[in-house]
Amino acid sequence: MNIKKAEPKHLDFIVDCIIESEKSGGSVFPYSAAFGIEIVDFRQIIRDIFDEEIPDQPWCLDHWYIVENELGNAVAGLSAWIEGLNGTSSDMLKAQMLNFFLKQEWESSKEKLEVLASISIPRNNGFLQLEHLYTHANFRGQGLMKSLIVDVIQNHNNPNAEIQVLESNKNAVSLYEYMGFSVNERQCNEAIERLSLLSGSCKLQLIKHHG
Amino acid sequence: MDRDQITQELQPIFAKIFRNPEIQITDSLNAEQVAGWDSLTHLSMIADVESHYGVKFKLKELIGMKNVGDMIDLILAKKGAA
Repeated sequence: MNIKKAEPKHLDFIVDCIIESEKSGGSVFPYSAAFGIEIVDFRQIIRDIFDEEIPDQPWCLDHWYIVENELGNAVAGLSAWIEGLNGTSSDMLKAQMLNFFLKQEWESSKEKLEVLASISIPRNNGFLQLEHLYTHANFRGQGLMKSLIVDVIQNHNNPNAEIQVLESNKNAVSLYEYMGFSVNERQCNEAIERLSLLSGSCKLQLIKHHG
Repeated sequence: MDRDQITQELQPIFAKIFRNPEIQITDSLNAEQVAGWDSLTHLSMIADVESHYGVKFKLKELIGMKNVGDMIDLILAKKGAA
């Protein structure tokens, strides 16, 4: 197995990582639920956003790290960036991009977006952010994500790392806690699950401080 | 149209969006200084500003805005008054 910075050839797999990680172990794809668009259409929007090459947010190729198997196929990946480097939060950047590419859908989805925003947890400025962590189903149980997280943290020389995840994604939460992350904040809104906007109603912010 | 005029015109827009009639508009004002200025209210504010001035910001312009002063610069440039 080979850990490397992502290249354009990995983009299809990266889009898979984003879609599957957003499902957070469940069946609901939040962007489809919020904006009423099919996953296949959203794949293209993600690609359009990557074309903009906007840094300091997760949908930028430069921030992606990939595990390739012996055949050179991408089998695990994650996005890693330092929050707020240029003075704007990654959530604000992502919202601006989504609004730009989904102008009409955004207007008709405002109420759902407000419900989703009710469990948003501000990311810590200056912390290394890990997002969209995903391992292909055929390659789980081999410690690939653990190795990838360790490698990315070591290479960023940042004493603080942060992951946000749905509490309902028990396997992911267990892995992150096993790796030394601990829950720093929890935000819940039962309306989210009732409206089928996410696979769970509580979001966790996990933090790891290291030397 | 000049900078002072835009600053005055932005006041009621910001007051409505951020539900703060007393909000003071300055060039250095940014999201960290205003209660309720999150990604959703930010985009509502941008939509109102675009509508008020009949302008359309490009994505790179939106991303590059760090404070109200940056936005005023863009409005002036788009209205040909920079």
